Amino acid sequence: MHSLRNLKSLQAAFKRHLFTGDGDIVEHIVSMENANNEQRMNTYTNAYYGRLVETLAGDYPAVQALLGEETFTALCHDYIRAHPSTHYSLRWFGRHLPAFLADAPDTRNRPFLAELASLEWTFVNAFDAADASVLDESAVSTIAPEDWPAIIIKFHLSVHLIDYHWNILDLWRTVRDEEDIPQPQALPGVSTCLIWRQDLTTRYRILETDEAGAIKAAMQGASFAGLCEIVTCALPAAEDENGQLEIALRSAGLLKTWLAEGMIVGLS
Amino acid sequence: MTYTNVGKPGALENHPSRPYLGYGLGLRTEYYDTILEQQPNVDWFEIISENYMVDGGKALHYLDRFQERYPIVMHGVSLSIGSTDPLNQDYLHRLRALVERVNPLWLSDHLCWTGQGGHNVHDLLPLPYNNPVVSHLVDRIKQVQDFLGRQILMENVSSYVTYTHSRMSEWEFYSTVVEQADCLMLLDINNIYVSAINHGFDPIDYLNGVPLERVQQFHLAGHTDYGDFVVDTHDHPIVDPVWDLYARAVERFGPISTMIERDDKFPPFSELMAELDQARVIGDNILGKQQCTA
Repeated sequence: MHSLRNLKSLQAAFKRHLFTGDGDIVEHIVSMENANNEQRMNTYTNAYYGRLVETLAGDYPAVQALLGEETFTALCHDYIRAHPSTHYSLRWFGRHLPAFLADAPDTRNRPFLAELASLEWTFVNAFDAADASVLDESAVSTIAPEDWPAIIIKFHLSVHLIDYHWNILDLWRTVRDEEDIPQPQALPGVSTCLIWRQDLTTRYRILETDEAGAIKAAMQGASFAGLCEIVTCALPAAEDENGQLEIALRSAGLLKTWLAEGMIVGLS
Repeated sequence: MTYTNVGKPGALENHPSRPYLGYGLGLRTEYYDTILEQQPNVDWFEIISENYMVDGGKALHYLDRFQERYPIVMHGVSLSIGSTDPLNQDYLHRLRALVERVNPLWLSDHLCWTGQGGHNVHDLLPLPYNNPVVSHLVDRIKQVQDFLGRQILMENVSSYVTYTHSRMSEWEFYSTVVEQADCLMLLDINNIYVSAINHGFDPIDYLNGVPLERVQQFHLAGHTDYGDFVVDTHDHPIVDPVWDLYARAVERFGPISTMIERDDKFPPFSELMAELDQARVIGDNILGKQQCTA
């Protein structure tokens, strides 16, 4: 086995041992008194699974806490076999876990786990999203009144929304704060959580229906006039003069909040 | 960026083209705030390149702060120079972008493979020591150096297996690769010790077997000791036999920039500084004696 082609087959066999326990590589490893060839390969196998489980535990502490360490580790081993890493950075290894939990036989009947995992992965994404200069509240003063309806809002890349149906924020927060974890409970309806990074701190906030709708629309390219329409739908008394004022105040208030919270990088 | 205080006053000149930074530490998030607050007596820091291959956030923010205060070198774990997969162009472009941002004194990675068939196993896996593999590595190191427009350092890894395909010692293999590829060596003293225990060779033979003029950096670290088998975990203090081997390395190679890696079970920063002081005492004592007898 001296040609490059054979280095390739050697590496493939080594990888198969890590992935499936396949023994082809073992006969090509020298045994010595202090450790035989199987023990030597096991050092790598243990390190492989250990490192990846540790990575998932780092990204998904609340899922781990809900499942318990033993169950979480077993589930991670299934995940590692189903989704071996294809990226040079461990940063991306856990990206399939929410979908995996939604689909895996052991967890699909507990949908709060996939939702909780989505929340935790969104925090990961907000944490290292691209830096960009954000606008402050003075940005609105540069916009002429007649231009407002057509204004398009550009959010910071760390801004994400999560729709959820379970008490995942309570679950996540109690794990973070090392408090007693409540029972998973379905909510009466869908809620939306905003996650973003302000300066270096990752933040989250539960949204009212109209704000959630407005941000979703703005993220899809709707103009400020479009956001006002969404706010209108949430304010049934909008037909009269007071109602129109209420819409304008609410819409302007949302924009002011987003600027104050460092979420906006462009108004154009 | 130029560093006018890179060389320690009175440090010996070793190889004319080899910069000497003194005594450094691996930069880890656990110590970010402590380092910025205390501004400790650390001559330089080594960063893990992949930790800063992100688009934004805390890592890059802190990196900028450290760059203002300390000389930085870059150390990668994902080049996978020994893989039979094509070199990962995405990775290389990201690496080059980071080099341009950081402007490190130098950069290094490991003489190993970390994946195959499009998969990354995130471990530093050993290679068989034979001529076809030497050629494979030389070709790829040259490609990387051409792409980056600079020499790189290749580090020896700890290993737990010897392949039946090996036809030469690790140090003969390592030396041949760096000579033919015209790259430099990051000699990990702990890894030499770990592999010596696991494979039953004399670590002094290793030190004596690598070319003096290629060594630009030393790594020191702790490991987990299972008696007659040792695992490179970077989660313990450096043990006496590794300190002894480090002393022999300084005697042989002269003033080589030295740093400590700690990657788990992080102690209070003061303990790490005490270890660094120990490296400084051992190194400077030997270098001082050499200077007196020169």
